[in-house]
Amino acid sequence: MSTSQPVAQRVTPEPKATPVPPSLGRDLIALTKPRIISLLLVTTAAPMYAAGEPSIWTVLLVMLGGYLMAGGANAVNMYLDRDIDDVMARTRLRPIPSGRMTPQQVLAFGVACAAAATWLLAWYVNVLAAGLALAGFYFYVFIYTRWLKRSSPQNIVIGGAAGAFPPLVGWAAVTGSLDLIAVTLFLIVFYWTPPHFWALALMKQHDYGRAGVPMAPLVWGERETMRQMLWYTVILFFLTLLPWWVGAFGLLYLASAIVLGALLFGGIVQMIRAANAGTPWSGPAWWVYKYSLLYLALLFVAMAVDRALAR
Amino acid sequence: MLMSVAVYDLLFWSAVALCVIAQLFILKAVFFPAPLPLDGPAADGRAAGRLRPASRPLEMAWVVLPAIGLALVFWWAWDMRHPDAAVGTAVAVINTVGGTVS
Repeated sequence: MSTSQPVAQRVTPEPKATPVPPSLGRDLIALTKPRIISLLLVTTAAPMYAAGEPSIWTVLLVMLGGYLMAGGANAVNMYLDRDIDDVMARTRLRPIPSGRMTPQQVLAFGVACAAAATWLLAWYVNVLAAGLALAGFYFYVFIYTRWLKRSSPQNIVIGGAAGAFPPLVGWAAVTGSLDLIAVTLFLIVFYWTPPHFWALALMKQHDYGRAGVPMAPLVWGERETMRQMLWYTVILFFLTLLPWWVGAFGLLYLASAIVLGALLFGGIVQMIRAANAGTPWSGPAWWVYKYSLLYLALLFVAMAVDRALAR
Repeated sequence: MLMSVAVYDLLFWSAVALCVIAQLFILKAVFFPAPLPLDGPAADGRAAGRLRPASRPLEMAWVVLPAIGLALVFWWAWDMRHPDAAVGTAVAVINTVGGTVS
């Protein structure tokens, strides 16, 4: 990547806004960010099957509770970020900046979702699962959104802990406790988050710059961010092998972790090579962003399948 | 998979060594940061006063905490596979400390 080449020519253009007919139901669903939550639900459900043999009723309840908690956190996030959502092209069409909902309505919806999730999980699953889900909510709202997002390039690193709570919730829902494997799953999601979000941040850095959000590419530069993605992926790779090493998962999981991890590593290396050669790197960056979503989902599914086959 | 304990342990320590190297590079980026980019959105954001400098001690804490967590998880995993060795090490430490004190 040459520094003389304007960044605007390298990043992917913003998607054009498409008119959507207003609908309260559609807006309420949009507030929960369902596309993001779908991955959270995979990282909640798969550990449940890895931890034991839960009933379909328990799984459905945890999914519903998890959706409401994460959806509530996302709605409160939109309330707190309403000033910068209007500045960024990626978020301009959200219900508050577009004027379809008032900030108070969004806040009330988010808090109501979180309260319902806490009650549901505590009453029908167990208090530990409810407490962990609520801790994830508070972490996302207060530590990430309120504190770190606008003050530190480590926002995604530490904020990633909020997204790492779902495996703990799933594990606790089945076992009623936490152990090494549960904590390792937490760390796997934690170390997965920076390479995933920094790939997006590299492509949307103009947006983040306009909004004053100090994402890593804006503070450290593009090359250093890419190098950091690589180091986090190295740790992630070996962390994913740890459950096999302690005997929690078998060969199917080991093979999946190696192949999936090698592909992620290869994608990041390709992005860095393109940047170093001065050729456009937004293609490889998009690939890393999209593949990292698939990576996490498949890794967690491999855990559940591995344990199911071993029984 | 049937492998000798020595091979398992070699794999473990190789993974630990590579994670330590990667973690050191992560720490280096915060403790010894490279010069800030002179052009692009970073420079534009700083010039417009939109990007505020972060607190250095907090930045350092944010990278040290996960490193500690990672070390604890590796220690926990080692302890899980070698419970006797870990207890033996702990007893030896206690004896050494006790011997020094007495």
